[in-house]
Amino acid sequence: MRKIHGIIAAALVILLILAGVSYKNFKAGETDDKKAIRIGVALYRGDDSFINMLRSNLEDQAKEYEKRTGVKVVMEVVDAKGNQNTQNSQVDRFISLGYNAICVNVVDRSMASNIINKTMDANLPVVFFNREPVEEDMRRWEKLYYVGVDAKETAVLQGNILVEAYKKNPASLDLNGDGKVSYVLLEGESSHQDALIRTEWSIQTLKNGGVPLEKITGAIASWDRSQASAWMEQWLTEYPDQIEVVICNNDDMALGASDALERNNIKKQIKIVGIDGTPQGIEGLRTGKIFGTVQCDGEEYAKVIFEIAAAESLGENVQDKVALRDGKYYDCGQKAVYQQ
Amino acid sequence: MTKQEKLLWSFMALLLVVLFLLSSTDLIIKEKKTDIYPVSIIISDTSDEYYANFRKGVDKAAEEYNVDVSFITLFEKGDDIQQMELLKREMDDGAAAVILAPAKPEACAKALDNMVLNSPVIVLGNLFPNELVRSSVSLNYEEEGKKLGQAIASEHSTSLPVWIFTEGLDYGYNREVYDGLTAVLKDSGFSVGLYEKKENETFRKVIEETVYPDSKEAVIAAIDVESLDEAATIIAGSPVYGNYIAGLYGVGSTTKLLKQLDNGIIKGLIASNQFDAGYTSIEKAVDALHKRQERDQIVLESYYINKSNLRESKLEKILYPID
Repeated sequence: MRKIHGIIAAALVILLILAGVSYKNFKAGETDDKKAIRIGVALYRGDDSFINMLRSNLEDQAKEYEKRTGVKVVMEVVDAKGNQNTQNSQVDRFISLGYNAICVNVVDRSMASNIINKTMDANLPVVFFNREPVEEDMRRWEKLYYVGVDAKETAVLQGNILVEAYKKNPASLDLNGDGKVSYVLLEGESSHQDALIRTEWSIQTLKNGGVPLEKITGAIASWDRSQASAWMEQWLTEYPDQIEVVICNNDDMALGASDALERNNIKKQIKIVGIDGTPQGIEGLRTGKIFGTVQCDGEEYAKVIFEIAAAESLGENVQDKVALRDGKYYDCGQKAVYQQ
Repeated sequence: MTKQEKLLWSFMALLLVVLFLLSSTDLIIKEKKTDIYPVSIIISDTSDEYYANFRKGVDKAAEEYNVDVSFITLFEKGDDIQQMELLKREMDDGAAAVILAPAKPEACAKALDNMVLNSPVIVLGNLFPNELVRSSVSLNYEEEGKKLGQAIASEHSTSLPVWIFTEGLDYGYNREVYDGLTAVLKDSGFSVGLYEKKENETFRKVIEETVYPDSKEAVIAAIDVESLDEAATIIAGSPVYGNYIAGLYGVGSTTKLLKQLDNGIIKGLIASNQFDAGYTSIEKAVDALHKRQERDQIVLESYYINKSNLRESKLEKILYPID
């Protein structure tokens, strides 16, 4: 009799445990509705022209996807205004509101581990873009992706714009005919992986192309038009009539340099080259403010980011949608555009 | 094993089970749940470019009232039919309330009357008669037009024609602004021309024509934010146009427009507190969810801003709200 009581008690205990676990699983699975997906987009700075272009392309992609598939897309875009702490809280909010995937343009690429820790705990896939986290961080989880451009290829394309111009007519760059092309450099922030590579390979390409270079000076203008404009203004005073070429890591800084030339009423044909091919940059090219730029395919860029995020949100295999390098990297296409 | 030992073991086993249930499930202790209200905002535009300050107000209120906001834009600008489809979709998908900036107010009001509304609606504009439209946050649009007209009349002679630029009189509340503006201008003796944006280059062509021989100077009044933005961009793009356009005026207060005002491209504009509009609309949505209020219409004040009063502290707080 006692034995039977013992068995009943043990069975009851097991039943209780099983009921508890099943109930917990049932509650967790209750919200798993895939008629709609929620994607959060965290930008490092919304006033950066290139990032702004990507944002607008991403929104277009979301609408197109909704039309095409009938799956509702809720996309929330937030701007960290250059503050990593703000971005961390924005990611916390995405996690607490149960987003399906997030796309992060991380403020400080060396601080991505904080975001990665949180998203791994929440099982929330992350598509990093434009600002690449360090490789060690990227290797920590299979649901981390990076979409960007090949910085070396960008720089080589930029360098070649000037090499071609020099080969066609050396006097178009060597304005004072002293046998040297004197240039100034406007660089993005030093913590950005692309800034260093763009500078290094752009200059190397010019050297390889046989352009006799002489560096006058250079500065970090953090991708910003007004900072670049201020630097250029200062250099025009410090080195009057010496600057022949301005090499910039992006279009915003190229336009900033052009603003300074305009303000100082300088008519000399100083060649300014940028990178990104933003709408403002292309307009600057059309109006002759800048000589050339490297245009990355903004539509492809946004499409890939969105496709990865959408596939992860729906639990689909990302590799079936996008061909990724090492299962997590994608480099967008780009081309040089310049005044012929 | 003695009876006492058996009892002790049984007690321990039971304790283990209770502890497991306490820690791993919410069968015994219910976790305190914070109610989060899903609220959808459907605007009448294809992007939220002109809603930056409005969104700051929305975000602030969303944080305070635990609201999960979905900000929805249209596929085609001013598409009232699609807007109603989106409204229905959001309600079917469980939006606790919907905030709607009607693309075409009259058509929207009619469509809402024929719909079954599962959740309360807050309108960004004049209050609709439908009982489920609980509140509205609006401006006195005709008064905005009048203020704009008075500013133009006080700063220019009636010998100059006034060209009115708009994306379309049927969009939003543009017609009311237009009525207020033309009433004042005509009373003051100005000749008025209306240019609705029928194609991409409409405004550029009109502005370019001012530089043709035998053309006269003119004043431009852009009665919606997109038209004002486009006109300001065109005029800023060439130093020549500034010689032929005696003044550019309009409605709207984005950071870009305020910069153009500061740079002298725009002479004056009508602005309202967009942060408050965003904050109040969420607040009203939460009130409607809790059935805490009667139907009401909040009418926000609008202000005439020019370069001289742009930096007044009261206006600065309205125009440049902190996140």
